[in-house]
Amino acid sequence: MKKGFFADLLTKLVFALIIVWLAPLIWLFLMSVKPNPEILVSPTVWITSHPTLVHYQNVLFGSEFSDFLRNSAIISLSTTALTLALACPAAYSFAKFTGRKAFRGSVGYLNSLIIMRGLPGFVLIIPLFVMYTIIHMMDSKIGMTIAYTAFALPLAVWILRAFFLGVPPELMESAEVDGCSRLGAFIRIAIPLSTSGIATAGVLTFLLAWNDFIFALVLTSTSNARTATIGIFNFIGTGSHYMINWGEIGALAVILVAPILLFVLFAHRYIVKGLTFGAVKG
Amino acid sequence: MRIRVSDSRFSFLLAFPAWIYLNVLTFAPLLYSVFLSVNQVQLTAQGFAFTFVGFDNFLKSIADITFQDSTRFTVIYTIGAVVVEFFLGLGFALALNTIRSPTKGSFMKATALVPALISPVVVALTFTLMYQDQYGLYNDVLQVVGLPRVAWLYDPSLAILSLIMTDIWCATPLVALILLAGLSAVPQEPLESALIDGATPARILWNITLPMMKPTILVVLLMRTMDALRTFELPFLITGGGPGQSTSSLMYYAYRTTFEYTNIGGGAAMSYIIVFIIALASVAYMRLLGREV
Repeated sequence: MKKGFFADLLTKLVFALIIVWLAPLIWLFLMSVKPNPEILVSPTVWITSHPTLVHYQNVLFGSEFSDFLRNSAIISLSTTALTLALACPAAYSFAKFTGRKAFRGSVGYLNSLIIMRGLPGFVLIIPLFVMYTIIHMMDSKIGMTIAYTAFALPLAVWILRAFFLGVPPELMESAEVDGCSRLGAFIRIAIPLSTSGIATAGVLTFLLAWNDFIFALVLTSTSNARTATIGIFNFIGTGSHYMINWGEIGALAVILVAPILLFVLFAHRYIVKGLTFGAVKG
Repeated sequence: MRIRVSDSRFSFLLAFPAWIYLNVLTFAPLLYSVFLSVNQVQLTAQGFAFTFVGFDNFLKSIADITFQDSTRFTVIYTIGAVVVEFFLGLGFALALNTIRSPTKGSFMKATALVPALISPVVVALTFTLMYQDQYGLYNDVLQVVGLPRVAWLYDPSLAILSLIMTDIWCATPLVALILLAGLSAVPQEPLESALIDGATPARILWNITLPMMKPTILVVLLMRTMDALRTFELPFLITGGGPGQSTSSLMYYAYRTTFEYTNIGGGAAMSYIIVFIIALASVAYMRLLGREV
């Protein structure tokens, strides 16, 4: 009896702590629905008596933010597609063709991917900046997609490999006995059985591009390719804190957070496994 | 007639597109960056001009006072953040581990992921506003509990603390989740028999549970240390490296060197010094915690 009471109390405590922990995000959301005069005041107005969606309307339809948001969406989605298209076959190769079946240098290639993931993106940004300037690829959505894919690919391959390892080999063998080619076994059996892995790799790749700041800061300059994170930064960077339209920034930030809430709702079971390269089961 | 290639050839063909892509867009740029780091790079009307200077960029970086200050800040930031995140995360993981209700458990796990997955820019924006001295939330809270309002971002040591606290906010829930995953994989029998033998919970944790979680702990510490050593967005956006240079991180200084002082060769050299520091830390962890991963 007594033990149950303490466990219950502990659950409630953890629950309360999570709410306190998330207070900054709740506050951000409340800021985005406040009229501007109520935003920068002390003491803080938590719940406004005049809730408004005007900031969202402006961000989505009125200002240059709508361009930034569209760029973010296009670049993140194309990065996800390109990364998965490249990573799926490679990860399958590393997972299912080991030992004598592997190609020469397979293990070294796989290990080099881990080292690449440990590199700060910045090491890649400086040479990309010079190369893009020389070949006139600066400030383009294609250039951004290509750069993000290079950065996301190693992690995606490792995540997918961990999930492909879980596909029972007997299934592939019996498929081949039944006359399915190796490519057919990959496409018709391994891929459908690894949808959760593909979703995890896809989500994390998407977020890498969607959340990124530093690549976009260096490699873009106009609304051609500027992304929403740069939009927030530009806003903070211009002028005094009092002159900024904080409501619109808040709305933009909430829109940036929205897909993450959606993802954790549906995929949180796999994300821990994904973030740790499959080293830890979530 | 169908041509059947060998298994090893087939596996190579599968990995080939990614291999080409990484060669062209990762290995080649990295090599090119080595070339940049031993040159003085100037942007002229005709494009870039390169003058070979040997290891000058590296030597100048190491002798640069601001670079040394940035190294000191980055090390303090990393140690402060990673130590707190680990112990706090372990505490949360132990608490979460006692929750048996699957719905409550999965709700908490899902919410705990949010701070780690949202953009650092959104985090920086939110915390910049909350640290403001006039209208920020933190000073309001201090006032309510009867403490004086403080200038979070304008006092050097408080600014460092503010950044570390922000990092802790982002990463601790994720650290807790990863440790929780490792914790639930620990077999229960040795714990139960130790309990029957009269061992205290603290001893069981220290002598049995934690050693069994070594691989998970290594993963968590490696991940967090690598990320903290390359921190960029929080100092850039929250403090701008200030006041003075007190919160200039290595990456932030490398960025300024490259793009504000347009010293591309110097920036490339610094980025390799940062890689070296990260590699050094990783090797130290591997040595310290074994090679079980």
